[in-house]
Amino acid sequence: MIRVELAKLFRRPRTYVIAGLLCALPFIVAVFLATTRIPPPPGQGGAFLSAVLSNGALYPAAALALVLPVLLPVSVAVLAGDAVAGEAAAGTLRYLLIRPVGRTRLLVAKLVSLIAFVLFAIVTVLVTSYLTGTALFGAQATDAGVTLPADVTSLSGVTITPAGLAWRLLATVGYLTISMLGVAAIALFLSTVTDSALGAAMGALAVLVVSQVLVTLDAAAAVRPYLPTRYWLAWIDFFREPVLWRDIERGAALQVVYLVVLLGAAWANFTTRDVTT
Amino acid sequence: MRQVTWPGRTVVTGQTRRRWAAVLVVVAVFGAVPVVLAHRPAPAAGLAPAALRDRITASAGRAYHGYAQSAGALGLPPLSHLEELTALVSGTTEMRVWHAAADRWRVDVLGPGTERGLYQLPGEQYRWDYAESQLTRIVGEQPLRLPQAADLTPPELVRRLLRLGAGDRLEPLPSRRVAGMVAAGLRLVPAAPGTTVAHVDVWADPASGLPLQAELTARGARRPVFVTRFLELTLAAPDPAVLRPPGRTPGTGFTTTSAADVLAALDRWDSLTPPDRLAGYPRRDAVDGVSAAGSYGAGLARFVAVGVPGRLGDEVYGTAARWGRRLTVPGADAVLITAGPLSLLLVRAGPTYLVTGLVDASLMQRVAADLAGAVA
Repeated sequence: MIRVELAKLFRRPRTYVIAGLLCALPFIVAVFLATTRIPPPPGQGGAFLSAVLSNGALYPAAALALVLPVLLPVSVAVLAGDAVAGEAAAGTLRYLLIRPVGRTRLLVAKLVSLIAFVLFAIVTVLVTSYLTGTALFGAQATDAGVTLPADVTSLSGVTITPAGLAWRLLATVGYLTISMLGVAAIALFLSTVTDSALGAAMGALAVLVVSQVLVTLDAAAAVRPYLPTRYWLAWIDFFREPVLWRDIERGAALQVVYLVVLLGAAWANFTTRDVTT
Repeated sequence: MRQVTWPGRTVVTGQTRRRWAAVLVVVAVFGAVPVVLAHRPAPAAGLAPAALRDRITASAGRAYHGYAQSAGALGLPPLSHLEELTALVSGTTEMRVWHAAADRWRVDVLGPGTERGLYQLPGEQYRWDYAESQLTRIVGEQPLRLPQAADLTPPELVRRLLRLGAGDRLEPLPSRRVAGMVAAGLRLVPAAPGTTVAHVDVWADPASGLPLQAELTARGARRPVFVTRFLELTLAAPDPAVLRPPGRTPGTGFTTTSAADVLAALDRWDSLTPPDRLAGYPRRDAVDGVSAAGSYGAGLARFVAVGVPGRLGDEVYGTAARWGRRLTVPGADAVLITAGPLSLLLVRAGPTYLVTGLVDASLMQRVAADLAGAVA
């Protein structure tokens, strides 16, 4: 079942179109920065953007900061909202369930497919932005003639070696994947409630917008630690020295809670739901 | 086909109910965990307030590292050239703290995608600002400087406040959990006339005396206007590598400045020396031999007057005038900003003076009149 869903994911052109759109934003920003050489004022604009002009190796981190707030969650919400509701709207859900496949397994397969998409999308952004960054903003050659990215300065001012940068970027990929689990779970649950994929995606996005507004509101401080978007930017803490694990741990735990609860709700709703389309 | 078990209920609806019940139980468990953890009773520490204060005072050499947060609701407007200072008391400041000794510590102020680090080493300081990509070395001790985030960590702020209110009344407070530790509490009730502080509540580790949380409440307010607390704390020496300041790297700026140069520059403006007496209180030089800044008053009603030279003084006064209340003072322009318990007075009578402290408006009115009279 999981193999079928993964094959379906990577056979569909929309997967590559969405990944291409995610890669396009950092590329466009890089082209503007490289041609005008006007970075955002220090401390403003996307994270790390003010530093990339002198160091292209940091551009993958800047690219992730660009796609995380809007494009990536919108992509995940659209795909997750379509997971079950899309099948129902297209009239294929009934035929899908005729096969000797449990509904719980179907939900799990849909979730695994979504996680695979998020990983694929983030790694694609990472690779393309690294190539863009080193091509447009520079790299340095070692004595051995090997071209390596220049050492990167962490937020704390300490130099990060290429190896250190590599593990931090990999950790960021893992953290962002986990961060998108909450969005996927919300949209997947709504997808089992309605036959409208658009409605499910819009519902998930509405939850995220409300969460983002409340995160910035001091009056909502009491509920802030439980909002799904509260720790989204905690991946930036990988680039402090020493790494600040506090928010990263809390963010990962919170996403797991959202996943367990909403996947449970999707399971409770979907396994006994009348499927008529 | 649905199997009917009794009227109105099927096997399917029964399964649905059981599944939703299981989900609700999971939600209840996840929801209850933070509530239970937050409301665990804290056992009484059995420590008298005076004994706790002594332990706090004696904890100055204690090594620790952790994550602290200060939150101010003073609503001070962003004054020209003092934005960093006003943000400290009007917003939330997230800090990582590593403290090995009084002359060896590091405090990082964290922002979304930014960081400012302050490294204290014997005889020198390093400041790192990621947004400016700038490393600054300050040689020598700085007896006179603006308040900074490192002053707002619970240990630093509490010891300073307890020093100021050395003779004030102490009351016991119930213990509470701070950063996962049971903390003993005390309340400092200032007696000094003219102060706007109703009380300062302090919680500290009863064993080591290390302050963990402080809350400052203004007169007439029901909630604290300033809170600083540890969210995480380890009572152990930090890794020495963490206390090493960043090195100079290509692409980042580096400057060296000397505290002695700053003091000498300040001392050049003899004409800015604040008067010998303000509002009936004698001046004590904030730094021996440097007369540009004077300290007046007693206890928590202590206030500081600083002469601000030339154009800088005009700029600061101009910004303050947009936000503050003008005072009627013969022979001078004066504006007063009151932000919670904090008062900030700007008087322009030829030179410009900035006066600030946790004091009330009537005292500031007398200060303004004295400054205008002294210059005239």
